[in-house]
Amino acid sequence: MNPFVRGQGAFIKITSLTVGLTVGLVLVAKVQLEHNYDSCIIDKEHVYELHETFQRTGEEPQQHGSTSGGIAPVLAQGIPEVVTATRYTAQFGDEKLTLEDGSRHYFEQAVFADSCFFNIFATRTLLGDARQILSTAGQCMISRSLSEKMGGEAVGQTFCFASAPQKPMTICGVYEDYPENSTFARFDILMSMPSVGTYAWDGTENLVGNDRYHSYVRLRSDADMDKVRGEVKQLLQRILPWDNLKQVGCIDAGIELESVAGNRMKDTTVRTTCIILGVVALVMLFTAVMNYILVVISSLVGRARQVAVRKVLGAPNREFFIGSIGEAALHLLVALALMALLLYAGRDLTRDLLGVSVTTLFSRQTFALLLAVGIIVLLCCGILPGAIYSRIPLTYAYRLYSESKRVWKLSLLAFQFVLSTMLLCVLTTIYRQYDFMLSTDMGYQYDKVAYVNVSALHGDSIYSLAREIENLPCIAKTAAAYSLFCERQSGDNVLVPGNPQEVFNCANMFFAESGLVETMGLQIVHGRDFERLNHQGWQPEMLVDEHFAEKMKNVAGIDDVVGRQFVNSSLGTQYPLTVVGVVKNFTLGSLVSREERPIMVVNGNVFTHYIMMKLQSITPENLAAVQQLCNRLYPDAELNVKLYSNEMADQYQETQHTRDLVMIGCIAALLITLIGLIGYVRDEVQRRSRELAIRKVVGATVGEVQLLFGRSIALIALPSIVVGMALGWYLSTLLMQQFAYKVALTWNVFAADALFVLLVIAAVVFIQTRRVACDNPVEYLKKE
Amino acid sequence: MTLQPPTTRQPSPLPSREGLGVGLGRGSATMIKLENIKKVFRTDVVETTALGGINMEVKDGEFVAVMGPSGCGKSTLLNILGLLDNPTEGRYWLDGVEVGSLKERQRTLTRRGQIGFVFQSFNLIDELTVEQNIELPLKYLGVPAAERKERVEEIMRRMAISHRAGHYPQQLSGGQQQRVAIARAVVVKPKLVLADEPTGNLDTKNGREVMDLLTQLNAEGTTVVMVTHSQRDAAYATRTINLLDGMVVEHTLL
Repeated sequence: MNPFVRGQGAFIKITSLTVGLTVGLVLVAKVQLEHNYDSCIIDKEHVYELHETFQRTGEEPQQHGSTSGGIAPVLAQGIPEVVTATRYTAQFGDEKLTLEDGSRHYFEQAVFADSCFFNIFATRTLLGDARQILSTAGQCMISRSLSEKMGGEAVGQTFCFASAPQKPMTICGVYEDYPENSTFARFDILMSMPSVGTYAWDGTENLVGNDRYHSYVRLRSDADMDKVRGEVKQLLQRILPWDNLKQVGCIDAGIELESVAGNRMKDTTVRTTCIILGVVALVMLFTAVMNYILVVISSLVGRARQVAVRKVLGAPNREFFIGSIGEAALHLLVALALMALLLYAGRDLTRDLLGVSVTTLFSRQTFALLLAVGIIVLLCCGILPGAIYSRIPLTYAYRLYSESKRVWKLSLLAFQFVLSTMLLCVLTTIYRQYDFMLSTDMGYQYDKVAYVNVSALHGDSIYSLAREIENLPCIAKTAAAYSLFCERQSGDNVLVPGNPQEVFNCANMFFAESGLVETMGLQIVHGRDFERLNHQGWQPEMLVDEHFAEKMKNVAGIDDVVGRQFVNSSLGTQYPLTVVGVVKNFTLGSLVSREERPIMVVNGNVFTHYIMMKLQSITPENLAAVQQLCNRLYPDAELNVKLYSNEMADQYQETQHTRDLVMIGCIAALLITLIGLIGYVRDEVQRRSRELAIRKVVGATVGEVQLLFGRSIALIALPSIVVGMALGWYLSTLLMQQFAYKVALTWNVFAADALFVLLVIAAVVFIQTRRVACDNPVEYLKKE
Repeated sequence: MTLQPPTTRQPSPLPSREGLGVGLGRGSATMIKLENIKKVFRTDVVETTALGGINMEVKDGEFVAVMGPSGCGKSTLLNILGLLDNPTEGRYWLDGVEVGSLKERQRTLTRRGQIGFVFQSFNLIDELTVEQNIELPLKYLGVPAAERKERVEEIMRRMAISHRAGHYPQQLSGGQQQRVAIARAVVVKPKLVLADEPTGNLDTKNGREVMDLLTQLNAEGTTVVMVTHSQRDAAYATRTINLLDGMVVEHTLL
């Protein structure tokens, strides 16, 4: 049997296999990579991440995925079951470093890591003595890829981070890049832990506070976890400063050991995303295979006689099975080749959407699974058609094949309608959720806001740059600020002067200039705005949100916070801050990780990392004007003007990527379904051409002929679409579980999706039947 | 072969047009008038003239046989007469209305209820029963279900195929299938029946029965135009038109 003979739908079969396999296999691989996440962790079953737990008076117990710097070393020394312990903490990211020769190189993330880092997170050391380097202040190791970007001769060179000039670090070793499906994939620079003090406050020995360290321990294989937890508790009872903790309202504190095995899948977002992607992958593969079989059945009109003649001549059924599998294998090979081309062409898009390269997707980690999927596809596409061929009666050798097999074909189509509708419903939900997240009122306006990261500048320069920017005609207002609203904020305790008992913990935005309220469109509901400082410095005054004022009333009985002084644990009792105004509540963070604590911000332009600016309008020209000013004033500082809305959108990147993946899956599923539908209608038209001609001769109009087909498809499409809607609703509900703030699922949106699918089906049927319905019926009757 | 024209006419199994109130007169008005009808089939490489300028008239109530060798244009002419195809050139009046240049939809609407077709290969729909096949044109004509049922039962009774109502075409003999095809053609009481080699696939006995049916139909006022190779079948007609290479070469009044 010639697999590419005309009329056997080879093009349709290969196209649908290509589309189905490309999307299906990529998603299967992605899910598999998520299951294999952090496979670089040695002896994963016995490695635990340390989580800090604490409870304040009148509050629920809380848990953080990090600890203070000294916890891991203390556990290593004090718990006999701990074989080794390590910790790391991030410092710099997504910026450039400058080598001694002046060359600049972009890197993804620089972290401080201690000397045992490689004992738990395995990768090959290519150059240098890791233990010694990570124990020595001022030394670091870099990844192979960064080393290659630097020309391959990096060891021995000294560099400075763009955001920390004048603080040199020496490259003393190179390590092999971590796999893309690991927490450490973006770690380009591992700086020794003793270097922390050079760049930040040194909390490496802290047992309480400065809880920015990701800490891990490996236990002995025979360790009894209950016993270990008991020992940890006893140890903490001995070493933690309980009096101090109680003074600030902490009634309990501890360390929880969370197993890293399967840790990734404990994350609701990752788990839900994997379920959704897995479903999309199965839909794609299933649809492609069903479509293949559908085309085989549909094209029996043209093949039955050939098969029957072969049977008459003595061909055994085995021959049809072998031929059919061979044909499927050939189609599959062509489809895989086309898939490779598609993936090569779309490698950047794939990386953007999935966060891993195509080579990682199709690597040793996923090979076995992908091979298994490929074999299943091959067997389905080969064996089922073989079985169909083997059942063709010999009588078709001398008469036309007229078996409709409509039940088969319509059943396969029905599945495709169900799956396409389901995916479209899920896609719509994700789209709506994404729009909801981006359009939800956060309590501030950022549609005309841009910002520039000025970490590389000194305080004076930041102040003067902010004023220069403000002088541009395209700028309405500027304000230097410590942090962006969408970033995670530090927590600080608030106290009433003279009372050592903390009132509550709040999100401290630290310093910001008086223009912040106007720039971000905040609303002062009580009191006044900051007064602008005409120099670099700060004033002991703060703005708080309504939540702060309300909580202060409820907890401390202070009815009006304006004019009252409070102590902030970061600045200490020597700097009490006076509340000058209360702003209407606004949301820090994003809807995914929303800040729930009261908010405070201090008037000042010290320690600021950003200059926020409100433009008259967001135009490329206006942004270019600001960028040119920055470049002109600080040509070496790599200042980049960015839109705040992009930063917000980045907060929802996971959702956006899921949305885009489901969209690709949905388009592909619809495409395959339409290919199947076109094939079905085409072959039905061919099979029933005589009947249609007769109907026309006896008086059927073009519309009535089309309606005949439309009705038969509608009979199967309508219930299928309803089932697809129901499944789509279920999956959407599952998907929404990961969002704290979610869009409401409404039936009319799902009904619109269903209507859309129905219209597409109707359009395909209408177009496909138009020709035969309009043709001269005599032409078809002649063929008889 | 000896020509054997019908010697006796059997009682008609067909509905009487007069009795059904159609009320067309016989032999006076012109049912079909063709004026310089040409049909040219064009492909990318070749142009074939099927009809080279046909002029003819068929009076209301006539039984005309169109004869000629294979490829002379008989079937093409019949398709044009049946409004299944448009002529490339020329004018065509059907029952006084010019129909030669009608659009597809208008042709279909004109054909409905006015023209019945009988084919050599019967052209019944395999998936439909005898009853459903006969009912089909009535459905397209928009006849209410109760009336459809009545008319179908009546025509099946008259065609002596009532006992086959629930059968499928493949379960019938050739003669029975052609009876069903004729029943389907006449159930709408058409003014004109076009028959394309109606006995071509039948044995002599069944062929004769079919020709008798057509003759009886004509006797009751229906105009019949029949394409045939058979002199014997042509002998049933009242007039013969001979075609050669797409042109009328002879009119013979029988």
